Amino acid sequence: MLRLFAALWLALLPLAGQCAADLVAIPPLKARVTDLTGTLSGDQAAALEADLARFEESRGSQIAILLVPTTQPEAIEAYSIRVVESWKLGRQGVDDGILVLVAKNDRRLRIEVGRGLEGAVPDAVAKRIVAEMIGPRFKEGDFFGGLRAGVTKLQAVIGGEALPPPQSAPEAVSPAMDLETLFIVGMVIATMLGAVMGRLLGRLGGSTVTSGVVGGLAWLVTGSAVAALIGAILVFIYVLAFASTGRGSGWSSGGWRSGGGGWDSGSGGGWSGGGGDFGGGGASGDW
Amino acid sequence: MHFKLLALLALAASLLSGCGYNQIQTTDEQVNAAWSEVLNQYKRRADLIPNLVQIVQGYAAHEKEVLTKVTEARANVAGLKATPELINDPEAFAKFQAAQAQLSGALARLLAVAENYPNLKADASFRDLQAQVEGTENRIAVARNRYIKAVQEYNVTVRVFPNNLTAMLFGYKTKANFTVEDEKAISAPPAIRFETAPAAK
Repeated sequence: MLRLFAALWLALLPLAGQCAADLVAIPPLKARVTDLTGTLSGDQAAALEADLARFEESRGSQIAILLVPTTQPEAIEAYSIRVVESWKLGRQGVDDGILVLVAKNDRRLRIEVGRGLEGAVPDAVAKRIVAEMIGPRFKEGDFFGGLRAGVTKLQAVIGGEALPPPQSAPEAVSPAMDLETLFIVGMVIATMLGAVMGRLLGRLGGSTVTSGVVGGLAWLVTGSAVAALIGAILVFIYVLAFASTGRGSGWSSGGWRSGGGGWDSGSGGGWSGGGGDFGGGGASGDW
Repeated sequence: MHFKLLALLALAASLLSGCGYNQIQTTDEQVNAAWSEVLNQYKRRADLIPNLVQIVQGYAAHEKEVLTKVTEARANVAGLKATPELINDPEAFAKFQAAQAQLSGALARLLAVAENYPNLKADASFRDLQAQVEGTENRIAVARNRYIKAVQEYNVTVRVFPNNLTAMLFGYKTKANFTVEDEKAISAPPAIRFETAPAAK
């Protein structure tokens, strides 16, 4: 019986991996033009890139082009929404991003329109750009020409929309306090409050009050109940162990520095989406 | 005495947030938002249908059966009360889903029939409407997908310990989700292909 289960489990194991592996991976967003098919020459990609960068500078809207060999087994619509959910083209709150996606071997293309541009580029307009401007040129094998014509038309259409002006210096919105600062501040408060409360209420009472206060503060600042609870528990132990005896220095920070690293998108000369939202608007077509 | 009361209050506050009350609130609101979007897109589709039916009628009046089916299915959908409370009532939710699925099917047939009428396909306003219907179907798929994810998150939040105690205390139940067949339908390529047949081939 056990063997049967083991065999069954082994048989099912690859299936579980398969589901995730089957889908085409989303390439990292590094530039406005991402060509995974080698269709565009370096000059052509650079020309499109410069054009899109100029437009973003003047209007604020982010347009990106992605060429992939295929989106199978997914439909182009499903792949496209996954890409924009990950890339987050367009400014946050304005949602003025557009993705022009080409699945070359499938002979399918799609214009995915951000929520904020669904008025300027309704589905019917996107469809016309796909069917009348890009499609015919693709049919002749002129991929650069088709993309340039499509992008130019998109820019002209967006140009008529009243959008907020682009920010001259896009400042990174940083939270009021990062986790490290919060940790230090929390420990300082805990030490001071713990010492006072420890004298007044005794070890257990002092620890409880201090952890409650610090946890509450952490909750207010981070907005995360889990972080607050962890903080409160840590403070409780900390104060109980050290504060009332005055040995606060024995603490070494351990295990409470998550979320800091690996979050460096945007800096370093690359290009990243501004946090725009997509709702599935746009149009697809083939050639 | 005062201090002890304060300590107790602080403990209670940290315990309640630790038991996921806030998390339940957040995910619950996310589900509501996702559901509103689903309803919104279904409404959008229903609003497109009268125009579509009218145009098709102009070119293919004798396709009565298909046209009637679409109109009936739309009336059926409109007859159901599409309220946000629907998600807390599995039976009404299932009924709503069935009605929408029926409309999807009828609409797909109508557009398939339209393929047989070259004059209709050449009509600019028909093509625009077709693009809008196509876009709306995709929006519905996206909205449903996001609803599925939101409900998953909410249901997990409500079920895990110790949140389940908090949920029980405040009367939060798991919410109805789209069935597996629906999910399959979403991930599969859409059955309706509105595009004109590739002329080059």
